[in-house]
Amino acid sequence: MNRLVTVANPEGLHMRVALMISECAKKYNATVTITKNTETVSARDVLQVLTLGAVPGVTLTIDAQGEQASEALNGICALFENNV
Amino acid sequence: MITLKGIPVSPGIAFGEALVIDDEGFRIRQSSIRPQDVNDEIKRYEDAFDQAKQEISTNIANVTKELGDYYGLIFQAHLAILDDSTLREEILKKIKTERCSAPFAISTIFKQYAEIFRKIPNENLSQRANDIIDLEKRIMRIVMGVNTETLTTINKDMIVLAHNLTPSETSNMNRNCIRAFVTEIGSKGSHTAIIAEALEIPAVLGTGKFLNKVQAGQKVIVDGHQGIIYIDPTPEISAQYHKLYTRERELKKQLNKLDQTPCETKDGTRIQILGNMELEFESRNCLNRGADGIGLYRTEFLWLTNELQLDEETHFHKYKDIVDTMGGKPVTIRTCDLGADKILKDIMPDTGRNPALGLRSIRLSLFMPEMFRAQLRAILRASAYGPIQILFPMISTLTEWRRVKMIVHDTFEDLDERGIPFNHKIPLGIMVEVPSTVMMIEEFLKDVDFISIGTNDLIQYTVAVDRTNKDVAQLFNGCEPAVIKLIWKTVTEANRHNKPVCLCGQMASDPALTMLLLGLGLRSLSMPPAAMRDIKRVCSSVEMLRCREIAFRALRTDNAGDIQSLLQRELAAVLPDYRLEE
Repeated sequence: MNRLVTVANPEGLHMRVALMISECAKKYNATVTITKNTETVSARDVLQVLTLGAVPGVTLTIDAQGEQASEALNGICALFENNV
Repeated sequence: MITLKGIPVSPGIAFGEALVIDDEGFRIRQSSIRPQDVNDEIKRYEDAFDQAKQEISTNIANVTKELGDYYGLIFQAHLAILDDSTLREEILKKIKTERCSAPFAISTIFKQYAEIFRKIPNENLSQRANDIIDLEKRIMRIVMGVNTETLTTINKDMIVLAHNLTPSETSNMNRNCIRAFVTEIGSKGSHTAIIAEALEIPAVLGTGKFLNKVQAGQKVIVDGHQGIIYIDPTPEISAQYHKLYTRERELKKQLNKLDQTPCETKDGTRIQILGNMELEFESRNCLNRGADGIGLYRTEFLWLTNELQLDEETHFHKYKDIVDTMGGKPVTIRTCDLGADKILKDIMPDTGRNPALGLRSIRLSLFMPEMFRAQLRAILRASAYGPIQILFPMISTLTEWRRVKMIVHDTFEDLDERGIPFNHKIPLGIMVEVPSTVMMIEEFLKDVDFISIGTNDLIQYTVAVDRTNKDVAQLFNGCEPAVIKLIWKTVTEANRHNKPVCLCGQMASDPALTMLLLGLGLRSLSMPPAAMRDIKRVCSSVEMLRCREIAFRALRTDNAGDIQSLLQRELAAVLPDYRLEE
C-alpha cells in the first residue's frame, strides 16, 4: 500500500525529520520506502532519506509492505501531516 | 593589519588571539590491501564505527545539557547515520570486492555522500555535507589512530578562525576561553551560527578564503555587529574598539542586573514574571532572564513527535527534567491543548467543520480518558521532585471541570494503590479563555486552586474571530473593550477570592499593554523569555497609581482604537525609548 505526501516543512526534509522517519520506520514490522521521482530509498536509513534532498513542496510516495504496513504508513504519513 | 568582511550572525565585540583550525584531511598511505587482509580490515572498519558510536552516545547527554536540544539532535542523527544499512553495505563492498583498506573505503564513501549533499540546490539541505565531513573526520581519526587535536586545552582569550567548524569540533572546545568565531564559509542557520548564539559570543561567517594569511597567536578583533574582522589591528582601531567594548560590557552588565533583579514597580509592588515554554532549552532561557518560574509549559509537542501513543515514561522524564532545571521554582504544566484535527486524523477523519468549537483541548482529553490519565500520571509522578501545578485548558462549564477533577482524583488513587509518591496537594487550575467561564468565574473560583487567563483564545471566542483568516483578522485585538472588561472581571474576582491569577497569552508580552494589565489588578504575567527584559523595564518605570488610572480610563472607553492610542501615549511617556538596545 502507498500514499502520497507533500513536504510542508519550510526547511525541507531535514535531519530532524529524517531521524524521526527512520525511528518510526524501525518501530514496525514492515518494509517502508520513500520515493522521489525515480529515486527510492529505505525509510529506515537516515542517510539515504537525506540524500533525496526533498525541498519544501516536493511530493513523495511512501510505500509500506509487510505485517504492520498500515500502521507504519499511518505513522510516517502523520509525521508529514503534522509538518514536523 | 588585515581587514575582512563577512556575514554577522551573532552580535558583539571580541578581542583575542588567533586560534587557527586547519581543515587538512587525513593522508591515507595505503589504499589497497592483500586478499588475506580483508577480514582484518573489515574488523578495523567495524571497530572504528563502534568506537565512534560510543563516543557520540556519551557526547549526547552532555551536549544537550550544555548547548541545548539542537545539538543533542545533531549527534543523535550522527548516530543514526552510522547505522545506515546502505552506507555500511557500500563500505563493506569496497573492502571486500575492491580490496580497499578500511580508511580508504570509509573516506571514499563518506566523500561521495558529502558530494551528493553539496549538489542539493537548497542551502538548508546541502549544509548536511558538513555533518558527513564531521563524521568522516571522527572515524578517520579513530581508524588512523590519531589523537584528537583538542581545543579543550587552550586557556586564554581566543578567537577561533577556521574554514568551517563541525558540530563535534565546537562541542569539544573549551568554551570559557573562546571569545568569537570566524569561518571562511557558512551563513545564518549553520552550526557555528547556532552555537555562537547559544554561547552569546560574536560570530562572523562566510568571509571567503583568508586562513593562509593568518598566523596563530596574532591579535584579532571581531565586530559581530557589522561583520568586520581586524587581524593585527592598528593602535587606532584597537583603541576605538576598546571604547565600544567597554560600553557594550556596561550595557550587558545593566541588562544582566535587570535579569537578576526581581521585577518590581517603581513604588515597590512585586510583579511575578513567569515563562512560557515548550522545548527543554527554553526553561534555561527563562532562568537566564530571571523568571520566577514557568507559568505555561505547553506539552503538545510530545504528541506531535511521538504520534498518537502517549508514552507515560517519556512525558514523566520531560516534566522531571524541567522541574530539576528550574531548581525549586514553580512549574505550571498545561495538559494537552490539541485539536482532534491534529492527532486523530487517521481514526476520525471527520473532526467537524469548526475545529475551534469542536473536539479539542480538555474536551479531547475527556474524550480519550486513557490518554488523559497517562498524562496526569506522568505529571503527578514528576510532582514528587518539585513544585508543579496542573493547568487545564479551555474549561467552559462547571460540569466539565467536575469531570476533570474526578479523573484527577481517580489517578490519585491509582498511584496511591501502586505506592508511587506524588504531591497530594498539587494545585489544580483552569485556563480562563472562554467567555462562559468568565461569566461563572465566582463559582469556578470556589472550586479551583488558581486560574490563568489565556488571552489568545479569549479574544477569539469573545469577538468570534478567527485570526488566521486575513479578511477578519483585524477584529482580533486585545484592546477590544469587551476583552478588557472580561479580564477585569476575572482578575477582580480572583483577587477577592484570594486565588492566584496569572495572564499567559500574547497580551502579557506586549509592553504597551503592561500598565493596563497591572492596573486591572494582575500581579503575575507569563511570557516567552525573549519578552521579559522589555516587560520588566516597563514595570520598573511605572507606579501602580498611574496604572490604575490608565485601566479605569480604558474601561470607560468604548472602542479599541482609542484604547490603543491611550496606551501607546502612556508607554511613550514612561519610556521614551522603550526598545532595549541589544
